[in-house]
Amino acid sequence: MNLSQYQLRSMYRTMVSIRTFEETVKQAFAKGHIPGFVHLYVGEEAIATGVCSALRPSDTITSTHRGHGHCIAKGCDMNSMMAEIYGKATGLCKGKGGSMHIADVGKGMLGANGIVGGGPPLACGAGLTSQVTGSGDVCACFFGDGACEQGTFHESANLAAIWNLPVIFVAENNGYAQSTPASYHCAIENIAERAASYGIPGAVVDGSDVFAVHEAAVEAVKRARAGQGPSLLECKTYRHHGHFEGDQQTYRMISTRAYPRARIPSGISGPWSPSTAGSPRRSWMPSTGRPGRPLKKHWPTPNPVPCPRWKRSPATSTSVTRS
Amino acid sequence: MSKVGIVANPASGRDIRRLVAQAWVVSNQEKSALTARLLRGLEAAGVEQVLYMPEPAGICPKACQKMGSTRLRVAPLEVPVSGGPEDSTRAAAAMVEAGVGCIVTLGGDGTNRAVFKGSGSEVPLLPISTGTNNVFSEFQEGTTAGLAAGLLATGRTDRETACTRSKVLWLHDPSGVVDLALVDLAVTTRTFIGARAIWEVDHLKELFLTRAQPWSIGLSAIGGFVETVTAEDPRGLHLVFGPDGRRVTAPLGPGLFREISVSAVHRLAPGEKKPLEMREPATLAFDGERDRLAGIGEELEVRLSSDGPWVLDTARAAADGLRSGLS
Repeated sequence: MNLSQYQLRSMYRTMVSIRTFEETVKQAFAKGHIPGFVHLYVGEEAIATGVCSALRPSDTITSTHRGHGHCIAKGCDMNSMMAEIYGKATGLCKGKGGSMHIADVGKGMLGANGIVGGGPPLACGAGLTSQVTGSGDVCACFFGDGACEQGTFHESANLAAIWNLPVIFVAENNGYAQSTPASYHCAIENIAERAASYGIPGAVVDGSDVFAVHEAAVEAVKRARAGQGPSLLECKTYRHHGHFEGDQQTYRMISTRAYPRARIPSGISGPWSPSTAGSPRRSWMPSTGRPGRPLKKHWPTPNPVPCPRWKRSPATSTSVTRS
Repeated sequence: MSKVGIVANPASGRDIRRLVAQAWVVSNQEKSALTARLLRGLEAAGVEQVLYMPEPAGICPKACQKMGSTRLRVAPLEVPVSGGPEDSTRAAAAMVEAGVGCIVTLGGDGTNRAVFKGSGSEVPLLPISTGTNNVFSEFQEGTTAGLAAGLLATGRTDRETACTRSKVLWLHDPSGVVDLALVDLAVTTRTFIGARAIWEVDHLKELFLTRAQPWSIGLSAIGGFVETVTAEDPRGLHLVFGPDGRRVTAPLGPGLFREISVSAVHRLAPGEKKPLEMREPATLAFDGERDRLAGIGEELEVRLSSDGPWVLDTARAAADGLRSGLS
């Protein structure tokens, strides 16, 4: 499977579009033009692009609170997306959903979702629809490492397995569930290993390498379309920005905030060429600041004092989020 | 002081072959359990210190937790952790510097390639397979593997008796050696590295092998179905793929058979060099993983050599080192 020049250009264009869109949202949010919260996809462009480039237009996706990249990669109109984020009536959902609830069913984008772990059950529904109607479509379900600890993920993976649904579970492991490092909230290093619990295949790919993601997605889609059931892709990546814009990131050490900025997903850092786009590093895990020590060592033991579960916006907005 | 090094790769056995083939999963929990058994074997053999490569999954620390009390002094190396294969290379170099008598690896052929880059040829390796379709490393029980490594590290057996010298393929450019492969070096017409593993044959152009065994799976099996070359055999094999050649069906992965046309077969003598004719952009795969892009006209040569790593044979080490028992 070599990619055509058209495919390569298209994938590059998508990644750059996502990055540019997100940087624009960041600036607009900083100026106070955007109501509510925004969660940026910067650093994770290769995942949405690699997966969605393996789909056909009639296939569907489910998304997350960090969903702008998924929308763009699935072909949603960026002007209408931006209008939605601004809360305008010309937005994709008439301005009533905002950043975390963008949907465009006509494009197969079944919806971003403010509830962590809200996507997998919807993806099972989409997969069941495809199975019942015999359309041959598949559903790619994006979710983060935090969602992997939610019951909805486990129930959906089990349901998809027993019903043999054409669903591709795409775990975007960006190292943090809001403010909690994956090394603290997840008992195992690789989420993909959980696939074995449901009798489905699971693989780990470098989520900063669009080619690696695309190759794995093509194979997973091929399986699903052929009636061989669901699969789980774990894309190791890194969240470049805070959980939401305005997040002070006091939970991140300076070394882990600075390190990943130097690591730009393939194809983003300059003009595309095979030599620049095909030699990724796998060093997605943040440096701990001290050689030879895993990150978990630096995380405090669980605090027995109850902490507020809901974060309130530090700025003028009154909306709240939990993720 | 008798010392042994452990390089346990938390990333082995996770790649796309779980999707495209019926590849197994060796969880990091199982790697920890295997390491605990390995440590018990080392302890029984009288090893005093174990140095291990730090990695995010904490395979060795968890193994120590499973073990409970032990006479072994188990310590992580003070080396940077970046999450890539360079960790194994750095750790192996540090282990050699610390004076280990043997390095035990838990991983696949790619892990051992990375380790050999750091360890050099003198310190023997004991490769335990936790990868996908491994040829250089083999499935082994941790207890007996630990015992064998311990017997070597404590001097109850020696390298010449218990180890076999492996072959290696060196990749040269005009400046000298630039890379290596322990089992196979493939030239593919893919223009990107991507998911690294090779599970299709339509893009294979050339294949260099240090061993070609029909009982293996992976690229070396293709050679094995043409002509058997064992690990002990001093020669290697060079296959060229093209239309109208000999049709060979071989297992490219677990449960995954592919047919390919072999248009030319050359035997490689030790020390023999073969130039790569780069007439189109290519990707070079080392030990089954695409890892290097090569441009048109790039001057590259492959050389077979017998100065690869020493590999500890568990059975021979036990037979020699346990003649008078364990006490």
